[in-house]
Amino acid sequence: MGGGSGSSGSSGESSDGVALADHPLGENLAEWPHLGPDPFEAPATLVVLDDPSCSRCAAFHQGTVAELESQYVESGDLSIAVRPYPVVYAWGEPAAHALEATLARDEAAFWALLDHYFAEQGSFNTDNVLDQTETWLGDNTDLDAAAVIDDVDSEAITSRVEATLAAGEEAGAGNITPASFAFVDGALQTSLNGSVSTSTVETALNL
Amino acid sequence: MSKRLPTRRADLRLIGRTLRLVLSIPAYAGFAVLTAWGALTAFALSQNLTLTSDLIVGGSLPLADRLVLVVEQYPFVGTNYSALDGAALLLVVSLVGANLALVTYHLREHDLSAAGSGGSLLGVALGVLGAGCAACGSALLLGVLSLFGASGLVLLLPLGGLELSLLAVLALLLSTYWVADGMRGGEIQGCPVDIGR
Repeated sequence: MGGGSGSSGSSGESSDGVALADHPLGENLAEWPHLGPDPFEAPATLVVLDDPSCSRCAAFHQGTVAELESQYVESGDLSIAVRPYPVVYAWGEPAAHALEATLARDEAAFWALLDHYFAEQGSFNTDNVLDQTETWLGDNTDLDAAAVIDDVDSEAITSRVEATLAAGEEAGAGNITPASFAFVDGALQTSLNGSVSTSTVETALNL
Repeated sequence: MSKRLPTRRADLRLIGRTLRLVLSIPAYAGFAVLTAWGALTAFALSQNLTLTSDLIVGGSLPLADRLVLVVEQYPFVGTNYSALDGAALLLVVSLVGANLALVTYHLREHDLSAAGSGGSLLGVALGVLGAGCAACGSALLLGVLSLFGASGLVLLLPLGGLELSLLAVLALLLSTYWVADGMRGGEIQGCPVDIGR
């Protein structure tokens, strides 16, 4: 598979060491948030596509990502980059837009809002997600919550979400979330479907 | 053979008695366990085909690491499944093992056709399709549905796709009943199968 041209994804197609910089999800990756060292410089990098409405994404973040963060991210051995990828329930799409609009203003607020979506998944639907997001941002951050919500349907935010959807599709993620792409020294090792365990990620990334 | 539905308590007792008699034979009990384990491994790995291809079958990892990757895909060992999805998957593979042991006994010992094996195949197929969180993306289910442009269909199900596992359980129970029903009048290790109609 040529760098950047083909999928190297989670649907059964073999990964063959494509470089992160040439991978569909590596393009402009610096514009999305990450935990730990620079994803392009880290010994190991996990790029995660998350849907805020997906229950297994919530389990993955609350379990595996939290464990990896304390064991490897803080020591600089692992970088975890996350991109909102709304492909599951309908409310995930406005939530992904709200995450992007929040990220444009404050990365810490992005992580907090993502945690909030995962923690309260059962309370959201397409009718209330933006109202509840505005209320939560107003109560828990210093951001202008109304401005964030006004921005949700802007061309810039929409194009960011569409860019991730297109990159995920090209990478072979399809409609499966969480979809994680494991890179060692900048080269793709494999991709992982679902809320895989910490041991699975450790083994795949030689941690 | 006419395909009756198990509607009476005696029908359920027939399933239980037949399974108990067949699985009391060590060779068939072992066969059931191995079949269930094989089905579980196939179901679990089918959710992560790229990982399987890259690092479990291919790649250069030591054998111990490959085994870790396999075991970590099982429910309750790894974290891929919720408790409910994991329990449903274990129930399906247990029924697959017991059902296939029964069908095999029927074929070998009674030299008869595999009545009810269609139900076994249907149960296995539904179990494979429904394994895991179907709403978040059961790899095989979404692949099959996308052929018909209907990959969003599973999101409309109230249990997010767990319905497929429940259908698999139903198909396997029906299949097991039909096989047991076909063994009425016979004996297993000298014990009569029939419970009375």
